[in-house]
Amino acid sequence: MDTRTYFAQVTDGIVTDVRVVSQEFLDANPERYTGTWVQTFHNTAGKNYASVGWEYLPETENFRPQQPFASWTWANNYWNPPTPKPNEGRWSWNEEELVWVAI
Amino acid sequence: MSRYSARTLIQQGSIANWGKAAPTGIGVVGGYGVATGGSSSSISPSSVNYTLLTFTSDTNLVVTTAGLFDILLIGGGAGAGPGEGASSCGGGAGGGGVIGITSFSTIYLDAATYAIDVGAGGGAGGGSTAGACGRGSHIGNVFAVGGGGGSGPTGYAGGQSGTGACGGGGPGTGGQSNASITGYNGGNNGGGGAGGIGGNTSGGTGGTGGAGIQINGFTAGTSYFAGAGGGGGGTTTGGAAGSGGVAGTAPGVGGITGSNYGAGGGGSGNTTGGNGAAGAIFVRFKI
Repeated sequence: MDTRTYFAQVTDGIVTDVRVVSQEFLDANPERYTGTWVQTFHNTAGKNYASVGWEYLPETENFRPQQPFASWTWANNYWNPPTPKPNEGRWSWNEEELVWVAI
Repeated sequence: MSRYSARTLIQQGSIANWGKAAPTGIGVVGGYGVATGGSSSSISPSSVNYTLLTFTSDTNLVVTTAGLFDILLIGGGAGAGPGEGASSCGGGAGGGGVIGITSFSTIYLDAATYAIDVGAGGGAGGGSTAGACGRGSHIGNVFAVGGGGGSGPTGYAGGQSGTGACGGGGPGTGGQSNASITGYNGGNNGGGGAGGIGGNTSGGTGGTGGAGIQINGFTAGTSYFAGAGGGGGGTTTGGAAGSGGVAGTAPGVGGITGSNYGAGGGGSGNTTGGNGAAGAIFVRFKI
């Protein structure tokens, strides 16, 4: 069980760095941790662990990756396609037709 | 700004000192120095007494007496590629963080305060975004690089390269390693490890994760593997774990987060993969 604490540097709403550091050390060393830092959780249900380039969602204090396709919507901590992906086989999403295509 | 102004608070270590004999008259035992920081313990591997400083998060190493120090750095493991994205081929697993030099190194450090940066693990990919690379671990400017992120399924970019042991790509897209950095390629879906290559996917089974490097003797505890790659996600069966790593998973089961220092996350067949594990830094000196 990893009990370490993690913080993400957020610049203009986008994650620019992720560090494993205690709150106390981060607060005591502003020259090493410039800008805005938000705690992120490494292995906690309902919380996405931050990655560089991801968007910070202040209303839920969570993080999400880039939207894969314009038609996909964010819900339940995932980007969800307009129609669910079939359970078996290999599929690729066709954004123009808005359908899954077997590959 | 003066070129030296950034060094007023934190004295950076110098690679130029690597391999040099300790100057006469310094250190306490056998040319070794003395330092504080992290979590301190007493160990006696091969009946030689040491103080071991263990660093698992960012802090400082304070060298109070200049001299030699044995160091072991493990970079952060990378996140697995996304399995829940626009295809269902199974996400490639994250590569493991690479360990500094070989198993450990002995360096000379002046009496000063050195910044310790422990590499955070990379996050699992999501949507069409590849798994994130692990962050490197540093003592001053001495570092071990993090693992390369696992890629998503077919149609996405391969595992990121140039940051150590590479993650696996989606099927048909092998990860590429940086030739100048120790570490191994991922297979076409298993994550490469610090000690071995990742395996290729076969049928619906994900590729096996690359092995980590076995740490013997340095910390005098139970031997374990650090920097292992994760197993790849499979469309029927997850890829096996490499030594010290986590396995990939089958569809419907989320990826497993790496647990040992620097381990890459395991890929998942059709959902979010595992995050990479953070690295660690060990410093010891004879007493």
